[in-house]
Amino acid sequence: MRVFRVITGSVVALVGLTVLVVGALAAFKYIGPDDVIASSPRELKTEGVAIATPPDLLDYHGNRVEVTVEPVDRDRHVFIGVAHDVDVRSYLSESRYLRILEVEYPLRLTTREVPGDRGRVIPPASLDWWMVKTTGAGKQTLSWRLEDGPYDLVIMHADGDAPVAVQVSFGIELPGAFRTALLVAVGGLVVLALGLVITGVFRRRPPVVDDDDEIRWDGGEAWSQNEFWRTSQPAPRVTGPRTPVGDPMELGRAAGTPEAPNAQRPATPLEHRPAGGPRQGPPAFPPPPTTHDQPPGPVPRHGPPPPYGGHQRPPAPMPPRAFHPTPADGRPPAVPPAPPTSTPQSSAVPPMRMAPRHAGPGDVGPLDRPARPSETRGTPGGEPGSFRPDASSWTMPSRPMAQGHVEPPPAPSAPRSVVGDAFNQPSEEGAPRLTGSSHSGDVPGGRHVERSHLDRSHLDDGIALGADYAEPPPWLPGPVSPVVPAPGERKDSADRG
Amino acid sequence: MARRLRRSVGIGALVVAVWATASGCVTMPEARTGRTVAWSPVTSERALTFLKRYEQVSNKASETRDPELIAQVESGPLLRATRAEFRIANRLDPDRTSRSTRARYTNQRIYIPDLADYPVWFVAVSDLADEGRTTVSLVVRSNAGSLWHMTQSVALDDDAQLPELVERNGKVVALDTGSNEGLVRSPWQAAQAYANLLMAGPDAPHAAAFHPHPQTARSHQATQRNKEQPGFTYDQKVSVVSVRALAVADGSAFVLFTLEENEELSLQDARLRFDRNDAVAAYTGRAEGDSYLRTSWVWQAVAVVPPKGAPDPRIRLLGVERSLESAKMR
Repeated sequence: MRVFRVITGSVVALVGLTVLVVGALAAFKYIGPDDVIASSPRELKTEGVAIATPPDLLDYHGNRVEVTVEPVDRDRHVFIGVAHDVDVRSYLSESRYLRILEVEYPLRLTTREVPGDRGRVIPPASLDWWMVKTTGAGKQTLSWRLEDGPYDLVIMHADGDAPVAVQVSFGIELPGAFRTALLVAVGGLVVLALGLVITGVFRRRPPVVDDDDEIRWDGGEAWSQNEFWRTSQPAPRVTGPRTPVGDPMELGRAAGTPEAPNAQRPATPLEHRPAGGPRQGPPAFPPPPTTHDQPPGPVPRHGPPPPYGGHQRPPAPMPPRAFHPTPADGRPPAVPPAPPTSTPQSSAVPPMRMAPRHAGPGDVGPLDRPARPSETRGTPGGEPGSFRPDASSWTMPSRPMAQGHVEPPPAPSAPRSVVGDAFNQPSEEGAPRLTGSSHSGDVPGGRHVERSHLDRSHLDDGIALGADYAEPPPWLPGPVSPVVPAPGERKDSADRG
Repeated sequence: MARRLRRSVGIGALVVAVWATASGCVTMPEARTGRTVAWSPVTSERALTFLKRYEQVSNKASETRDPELIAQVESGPLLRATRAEFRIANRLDPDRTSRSTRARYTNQRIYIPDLADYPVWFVAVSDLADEGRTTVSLVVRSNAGSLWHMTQSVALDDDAQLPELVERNGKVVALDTGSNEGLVRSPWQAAQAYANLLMAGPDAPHAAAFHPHPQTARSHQATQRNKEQPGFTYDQKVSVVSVRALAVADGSAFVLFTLEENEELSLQDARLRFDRNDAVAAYTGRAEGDSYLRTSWVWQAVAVVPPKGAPDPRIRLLGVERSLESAKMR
């Protein structure tokens, strides 16, 4: 398959390159912005008094022709004129001159010397039967729109003397030729780019997978539309001890992942959800790295992640700068969690103003993860309790929201469903994804990533059924089983919606 | 290699151009229809331009009596006559004390015939503003490598009217001067008949073919007197120089022709004596001669040749002028 793509892409790119070159050359070398296709100069000499074309040299009319003549002897004046064949024949009768019999593109002329006795004729500029004429010293250009009739082109010295030696170039105007050539060049460029895309030159090869489908992230678009990322501003980084707040499942899962001990691991947004209520302000964290294995060096401080492309890996929701994941063994994090904030960060914004699916800046938002279509459909009234989870939704323990404080994270062993999680999580999190194959391999950087099957047939009902793993992934912190919300628990659909 | 590359690129560009044309993006030239484009020897604008130039140049030449300058706008019999005038004027008024009157042409009308090849010509009818007369001029270009020159200029008689010429597509219809189709005589035969009339006198066989004209009668009188003079022999020869004809609406032909008359007087124990203001004396610079006198005269005439079946089949002369062309006396 790859070989076929490379070959096909190369052929397409070659065709595109050829069309691009031909179009560009035609546009800028042979045509020009004036739509005139001109030939290169050609020297013509005759012992006679003139160089003339027969009336049947050109079988076309209607377009403009340009004839540029430069005398070999630059001190002499040249004359270029177009006239009816009756006039030219009479004018050059009994005179020796050079007759152009045939013109081939780019410029191959077939000529013949017409014998005659007269070596000088009356200066052509003094005659009044020229349809168009130009005369002067040095290079002269005559422009004339071809007319339907027997017209001759005459080149001679302005004084009518023989011999004549000039450099001649011919051009013809083709209205729209320049534009068309540019379009051809652009088309060639597009085809070239297409060929290169097919070839895979532009592809950034993911470090862990070799199939693009493996890294597709369904929530990429919603991610970019997330209000939090769109409006977040740079903020001072939290340097003090923080308490990880947010979804305990996320925290727990993050703690349970094999990469959890690694401080460089990108954390989910939930892990870095800012303490406080809605409209608390920009998060005190830099934006997530665009790739999972991006080194913890300089990263963008804010702004949405780059658009999710077919060859780009979905960004990790948040960088793990201010928090340390909880270890899988339940030990406290290396950095003490920040105490829960009990007061709103901003009194100007009333609490609970945030609609479930309209989180503003500083809001916890829909779990700081992209909303899925099914999620945005579920709560028309915006009531948190009205959210009806479907197969792809999260089922979370109740958690008060938008009250100006954040509850401490629940225990990592809280029951949860991983179906939606697995469906939505970026692949770099190691979560299972809907895929037709299972891969397991070493990731550049030394990490080991597990990817598992996920059968969509288990997603039919609205309850998370759990992934159909051949064997539970080792990073799962809890049992993989359906989760039924406990009575009285509030499902924070706002966070999930 | 480079040449081949250039050629390949050129062919590629041509292919692109063809493709673009086929796709409707480029406007390619249309194929020639092969129809014959009506060729006109001159346009009215160019004719008027020439007449304006002629007026300027001829007046300047008359003022300076420059025979070379006048040659820029005149040729043929008219040029010879004008040059003779300049010569005579120089003899009669070498100090140029008398200023020549400047001709001013008004109400100019151009009649361009439908011609297919050189030589080409057109007729200009103008009014002489100061003289109140109408002149008919013939302007000719012998080939494309020459300039327009006026070769004939005749003032119409006071009672003469220019006939209504036939016009098609804005051009008058030129007639074949050798054909008498529809005419009592061909234009050339009419000119030749008038030359014979001048030579043979009023009793010539063709005399009845022309309406009487004062210039004709004056010539007949002069010829008769010369022939009757003792002491010298008189020989006269009149030949046709040029003939042009245009179709007239009533079927007749409007003919412009010029004649050249050569006279030779051979003196036998006699002397010729001319008044110093005479044209021959002024031209030759001699008032007397005792050997011979050879003169050439230019006849310029415009006439109407009636069609066959016309009630009056006689040729009517609308204007006739006789001018000295050259003279030599011993």
